[in-house]
Amino acid sequence: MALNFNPSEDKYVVGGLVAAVAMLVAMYFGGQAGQIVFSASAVAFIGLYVLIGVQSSERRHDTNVFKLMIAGLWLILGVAFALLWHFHFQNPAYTDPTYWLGFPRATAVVVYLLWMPPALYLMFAYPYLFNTYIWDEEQVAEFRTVGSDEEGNK
Amino acid sequence: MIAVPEAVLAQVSTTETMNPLIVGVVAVYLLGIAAIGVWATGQTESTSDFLIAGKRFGIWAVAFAAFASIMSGFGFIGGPGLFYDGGYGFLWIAIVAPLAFPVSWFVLGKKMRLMAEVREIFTIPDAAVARFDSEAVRLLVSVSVLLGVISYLGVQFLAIAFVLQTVLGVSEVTALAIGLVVISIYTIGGGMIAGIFTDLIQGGIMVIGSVVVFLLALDTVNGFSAMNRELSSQIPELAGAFGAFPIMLGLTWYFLFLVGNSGQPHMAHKLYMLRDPKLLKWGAPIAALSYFAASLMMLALGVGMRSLVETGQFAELANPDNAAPIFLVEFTPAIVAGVVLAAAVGAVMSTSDAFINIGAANLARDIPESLGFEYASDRQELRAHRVATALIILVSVLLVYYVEILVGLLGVVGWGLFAAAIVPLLGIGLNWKGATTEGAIAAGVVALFGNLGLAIAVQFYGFSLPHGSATEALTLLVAIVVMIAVSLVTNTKARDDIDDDIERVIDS
Repeated sequence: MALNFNPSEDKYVVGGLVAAVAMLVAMYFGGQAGQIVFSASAVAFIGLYVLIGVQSSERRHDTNVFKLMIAGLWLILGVAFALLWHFHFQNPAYTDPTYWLGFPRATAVVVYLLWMPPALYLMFAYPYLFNTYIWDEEQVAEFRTVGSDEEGNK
Repeated sequence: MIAVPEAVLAQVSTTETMNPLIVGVVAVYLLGIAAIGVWATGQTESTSDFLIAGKRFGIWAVAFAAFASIMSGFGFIGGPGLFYDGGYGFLWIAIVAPLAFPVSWFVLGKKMRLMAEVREIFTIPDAAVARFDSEAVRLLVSVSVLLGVISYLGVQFLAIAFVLQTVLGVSEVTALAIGLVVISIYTIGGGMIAGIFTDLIQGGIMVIGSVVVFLLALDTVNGFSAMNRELSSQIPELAGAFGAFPIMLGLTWYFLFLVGNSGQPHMAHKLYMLRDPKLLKWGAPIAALSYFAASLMMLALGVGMRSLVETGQFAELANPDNAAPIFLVEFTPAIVAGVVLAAAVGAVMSTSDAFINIGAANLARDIPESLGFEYASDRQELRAHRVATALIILVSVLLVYYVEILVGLLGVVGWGLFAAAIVPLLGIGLNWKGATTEGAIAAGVVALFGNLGLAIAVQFYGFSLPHGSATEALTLLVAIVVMIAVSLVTNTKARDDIDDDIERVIDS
């Protein structure tokens, strides 16, 4: 059976496969180590999934801008999860907790760090990169031609 | 200490105490939605109009429709209930969507819209078939989507009955009948044109209502700090980062709802409806920020209600799902309660109309085409979609009342079934040239039979995954692994074997 593998085209997908397998293993073993491995693998998978989605734009424009964008996302999520585990494992029963901005510290990390910062970063990265790297006038014309050819063939 | 009148220490029956102003606001809302349905019926002249609104909408309408259909009754009614029940553990679902929307936009936004540019594509299975050229793929995706649609609709219809029964003080059957008449008027006649217009209005009401109630709820409990200290002094774990839920459940929810967002047909389907692909640009922030604003209410209201109960200032709720309606009736002005309860009806209806439309397309288009049937004309196909819409509504209602066990079974797998079937095939398949037909079929089999098998094991045999992980996350992960692993050792419709127009979409 011939292997259908092209290293330059398949690197993100294979990375995603490794992260998915790591998540499955972590789900099976559980415990503190499993929880940490699962969260790290999930963060890795999310970034790789976005990179799979933009790899055609990355190749078309021969740019590293998307890798930098995902590095930023990994940094935000990595810091958030590191703080979450640090504070959660310090006081897993949440008895007499220390409060940050109205919440026990680990909960505050989820509310203030994990909720909107990564989302704001990525949601505004899309329009910021849109005209230069995701979509351009040349492509609009190209696909309108394909679309009208298809209509004509019906 | 929060000042709450002694009278409310007794459990209230909202059906008996509902203010006429609240009933009036909800009634006006329902009439308005029905009127849009009548108008949109006149605008719907083709199958394209009915299924993808003739690709006529701008980004505000499409992004609002995407967020409103994802929010659903689960978010507006079930969300506060789960916060009430499990404390901050529900954050692991509630915080996901604002990040999930841009992820979906990066992965699928451009590709899905371009697929509709190069082929006559109206449904999610249409896109899967265009990519993998396989009727087996169409059948697997269609059946998965149809089962998911029926499961969601059963739950949404129960939610419509619950909210309208609460607001109007009528029996459950009457409440359901009122909701179904309104929803039938605009889905059977107006298709997605009515769906998108009503979603835009419903989404706007959800955002405004949620922010107002969030502020009122925080004021009632004297802010997060006082609320959490009260809660923590009674049941510390409820104020914790994972609430009363197992940690692995929270983590697997986070993954399932984040990555699985791009596999939800009621979200992805909306991307076909943009009049110009360039309008995608601002869609992610609009959908994500709207969802964020609309989800604020469930956090403050659900946990706030629990804090009031734990500190003895309110009687324990018989049903956690009552947290939202009871809080609104007891602690907010009638006009606000009316608007937010109308928003709750809107949340349920916007999800329902999306699923009714997708289910009808499945019945009238995807499944017949996978069996080799072709329509003689577009007019005939449009008629078939209208009949299928009525049929989907009828079958879902009958299932709710006569095959309760099926709704209970499917109700837990809806999101997971969609995610496991669509993320590998479209999220990965439309972006990776190495994805093969064999990989897609294998992933489709895992999604369909894995989800159903696990749901049966959980419901009937008390099965649970180690450490409390979500079974739907397991099937999503296994479907992804199978899709990639099988594709790496097979070749059909991969790389040079991909049709030219589809290859241009993948390369775009």
